[in-house]
Amino acid sequence: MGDIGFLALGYGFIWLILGSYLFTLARRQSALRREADRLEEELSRKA
Amino acid sequence: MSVGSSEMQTLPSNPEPDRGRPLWLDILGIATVILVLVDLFGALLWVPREVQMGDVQRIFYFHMPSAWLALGPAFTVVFICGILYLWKKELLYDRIAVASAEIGVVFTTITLVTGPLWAKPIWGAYWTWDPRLTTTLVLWFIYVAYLMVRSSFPEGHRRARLLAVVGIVGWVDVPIVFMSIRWWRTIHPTLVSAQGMDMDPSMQAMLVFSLGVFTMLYVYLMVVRVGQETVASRLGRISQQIHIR
Repeated sequence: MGDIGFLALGYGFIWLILGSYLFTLARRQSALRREADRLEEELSRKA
Repeated sequence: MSVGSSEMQTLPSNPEPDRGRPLWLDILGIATVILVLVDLFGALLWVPREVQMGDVQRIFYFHMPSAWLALGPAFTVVFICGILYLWKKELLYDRIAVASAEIGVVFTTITLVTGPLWAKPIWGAYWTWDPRLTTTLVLWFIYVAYLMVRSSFPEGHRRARLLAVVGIVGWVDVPIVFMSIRWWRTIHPTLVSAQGMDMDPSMQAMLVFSLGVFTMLYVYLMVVRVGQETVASRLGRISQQIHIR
């Protein structure tokens, strides 16, 4: 593999790792939103 | 639910949370994405090709700032928050520390993956047990262990105290990583010597720009991550309150 191949692989991995992390953050965010919705529902039922 | 908001603590008496996301956070996010793309363009197309190493040297403009982000702000914030937690006993510092440790691990991973891809065509090997590489790998293991410890204990002061100690002791490796190329014989490139930076001015400018962009990326990720930790903790407390009633 030449210079460009290693360069492409390097930047490919960078975006893969960053993308995976951002995806994890987005999933956590939606899980928190679901939990907030569930608690709201539970509260309104109890009220 | 907004990551930077503080409305959830009062949810039982005020069950309608503000779902607006702060505008400044969106602006910061968009500006960060634009700057990362400009950084990518600069690293791949604008900056001149290094004569001896060739195009693979362009990995450096993301490799070195990743290392900077992890060793500089990320793990140092874990260290400082560890001290602050032990002093003030406020869980906020624990939340900031874990957010920073997680971001630090992500960027240390990038450093450890891109380094070998740069090394293979230059040194002829992906990995050598060079002091800089070895101490960086040890650092990665320390903070992965930190995150594993956190996920195995329930939230509370006991976990926060343990993590504060791990964060403080673990940080000892940061100056060792930094000084390893001065203390031991190494084949890792030395960027700054007694004579200053041995680089073309445009490469220096590119590096400084990259460092700035990565610092901004760290700030953005921290705001989002600390916000998530804060909201998760409040939701947990509210859930407990609901079930106690």
